[in-house]
Amino acid sequence: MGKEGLAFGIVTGLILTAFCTAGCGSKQKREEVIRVACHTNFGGSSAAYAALDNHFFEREGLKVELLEFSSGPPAIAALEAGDVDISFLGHGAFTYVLEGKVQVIAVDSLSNAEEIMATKESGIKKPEDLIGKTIATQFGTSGENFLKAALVSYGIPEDEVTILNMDTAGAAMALMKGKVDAVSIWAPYTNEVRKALGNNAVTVVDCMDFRDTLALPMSWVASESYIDSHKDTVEKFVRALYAGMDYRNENLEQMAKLVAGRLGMEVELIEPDIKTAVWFDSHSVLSYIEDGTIARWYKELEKFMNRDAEKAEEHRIQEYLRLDILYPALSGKKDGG
Amino acid sequence: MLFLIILVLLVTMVAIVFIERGRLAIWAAGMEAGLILVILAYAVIWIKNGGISRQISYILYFSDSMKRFFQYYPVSYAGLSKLLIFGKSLFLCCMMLLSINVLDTPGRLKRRLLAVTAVGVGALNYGMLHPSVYEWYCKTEMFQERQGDIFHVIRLLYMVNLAVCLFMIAGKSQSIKINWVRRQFQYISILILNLSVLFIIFAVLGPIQVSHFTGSHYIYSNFLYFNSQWIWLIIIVCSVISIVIGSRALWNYSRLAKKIGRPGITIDKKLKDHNAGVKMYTHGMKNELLVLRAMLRDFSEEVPLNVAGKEKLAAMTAVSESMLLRMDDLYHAFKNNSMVLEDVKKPSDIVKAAILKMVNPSVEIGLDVSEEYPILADSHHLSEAIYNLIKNSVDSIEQKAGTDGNVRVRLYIQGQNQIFEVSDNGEGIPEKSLPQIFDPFYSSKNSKKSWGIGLLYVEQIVRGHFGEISVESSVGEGTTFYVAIPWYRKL
Repeated sequence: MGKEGLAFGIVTGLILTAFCTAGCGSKQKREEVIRVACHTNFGGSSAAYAALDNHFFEREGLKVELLEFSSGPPAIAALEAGDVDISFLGHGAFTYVLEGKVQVIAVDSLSNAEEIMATKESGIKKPEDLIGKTIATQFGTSGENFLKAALVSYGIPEDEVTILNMDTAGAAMALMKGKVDAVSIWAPYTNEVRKALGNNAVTVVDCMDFRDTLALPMSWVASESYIDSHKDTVEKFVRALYAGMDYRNENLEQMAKLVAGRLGMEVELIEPDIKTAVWFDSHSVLSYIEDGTIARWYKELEKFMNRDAEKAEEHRIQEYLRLDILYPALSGKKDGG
Repeated sequence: MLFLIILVLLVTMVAIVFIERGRLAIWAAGMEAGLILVILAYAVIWIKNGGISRQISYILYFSDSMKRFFQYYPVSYAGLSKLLIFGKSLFLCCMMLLSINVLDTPGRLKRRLLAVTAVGVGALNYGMLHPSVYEWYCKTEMFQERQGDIFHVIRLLYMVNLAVCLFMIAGKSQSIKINWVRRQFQYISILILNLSVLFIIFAVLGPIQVSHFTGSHYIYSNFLYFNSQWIWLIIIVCSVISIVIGSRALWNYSRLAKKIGRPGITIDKKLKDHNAGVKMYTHGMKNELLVLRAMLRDFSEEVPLNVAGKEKLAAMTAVSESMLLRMDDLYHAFKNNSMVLEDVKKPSDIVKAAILKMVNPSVEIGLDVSEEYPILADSHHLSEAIYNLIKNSVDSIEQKAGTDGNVRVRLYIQGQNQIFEVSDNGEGIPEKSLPQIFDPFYSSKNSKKSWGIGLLYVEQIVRGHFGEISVESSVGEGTTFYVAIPWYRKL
């Protein structure tokens, strides 16, 4: 075929090579590095970045690569596909835990980051005003979970509002541009809306409205098979992660700057996030394990996630909360409690 | 740099559509448009979902500001899904229409049925995966349990669609008789193949549907996670190069097709500088014939002849003049190395002109025209070539004394070719001589009548018409020459 044959051969050859090396390359890399999915917000990444920047992972002999995901579903999908080993998980994607796809290896915080926001022009001032309105949120995330919790709590039937599935950043922009009436999103996107709209931004519902009835724990998860085949590694990871959490709690402002730099965001957008959760450290989590508080939070969340199911399968917390990893990592004892 | 692929596709698509407006170009542009939508949707979905390392992020999206623009672009997942599915449907539909367009054989009805099927495939894909339809079944227990398998089946069907189309295109490539056109079509095949590879990467291996949250399969494909900058660089660079090469070839192909399809437009076709010796030989022979012409003229003036003698001299002069004229043509054919191919609607006219060149033929020359399509031909040269074949046949019959000889020229269509069949019942050519008959200066005939360049000239002219010549012969029974010239359009 001549020149064109050569071009044909080169192109197909290189593309095939690319495909072939894709598998080999990733497998080779997988043996050396723990790939961790974090989220593009303070809550979903600060513990990991604290551990990374302070060399806590290295101290445990681990090499960690962080990948930033915008939300839980794609991160868990990547984890399920085997491209990520460990992931941060908000309460919205907790359904994956209940489906048995992942198990909790660490508890990070209690979220206070979600808000249902509107603009003054929309006429929405209180939760009941949401009826008949279009609300954007990302399905399968804390945003959707929080919106549904609010609707249930204020007695608003779901079919009386129009829920639009939109990624969180896009939803925030849609509210700013007046394309939707309200959004259910989390920080730092809530901060962006406030910054852009100023006094025109209205918080309709926030997490504080449910503080007495529903706890929203944020977790770190991995697949059962990965945990069982890398038990020692996972335990080291959890230990380093909690060292990061301890550092975070003592240096919240500094961590805001670090996370903003890592995520390529403005510090003023991240700084307000340090108030959007109850941050745990190794000591508080250890005590919450021992007094059963953590078990109670997860049970509450489980009950909430199963609210629509006619006959929800009841899970034993031991089935998904891996205290056999968490407890020894924190206490140094091998008893999982 | 995903947007670089989109940009290159966009530029080539616009160029193809606005410069060349043939159907082939339109379907190819439709494929590129579909791919643009798919890659755009895929890029936006990936930006919005995240999960890429920082280096890959720069390779794929150029800069943080571009990434941020798309990340914050307010579009719903239903909107992205529609974009993704429409792009896939458009690609599949246009690829099938392109493949059908290049098919030669099916009739109009069959072609229409195939075209309807192609549109149906695209419409079915769009309809079944459209967010408003998808929501009816995506939350059923059966679907959620088998979502991964169902998506794999959809991927398989996409691959089958691609395979069928590529098979048709490969078949077309093999069936093209004109080498240059075939080479151009092979360029197009590269474009189609490359677009297909890109489609596999982004549309088959990528997410199938993203509008509804129905588990991990809805948004993420475990095939598509090349977190290596080198793999992406290879894919992107190869894609861009291949799209440019393929699009250029499509343009050239389309221009040629347009020229061929428009009567009266001529195409210069260079012939090979076949044999310098032939030129010298014909030049020498021409000079000898000029000397002969002068001698005949002197003879007629100087020698008193009776009526019969004068008639014989006149016949000798006519033969000499005819030979001189053809030798002149032959000399120029080899000297100029060029012919002008034109749209000849009735190839039988060329044969008729060749028969008229025969001076007082001693045998009957018949012409049967079963079927003829327009060909691209230099009428003068092709007529001369056919004349040479007829003359060979007549000579062969004359050499086989005592035979009621006849020469038949038949015209018919075989596949992609217009066949000129010249047969005689002369003495035939021995089997051992057959491989040599197209060699320069080879002749089995009396040297007074032939210089052994006739068949070489015929072969040269036929090749100049993108054709082929073959011969069958049996000693004592006769010889048949087949000249196959590709037809290029049906009236």
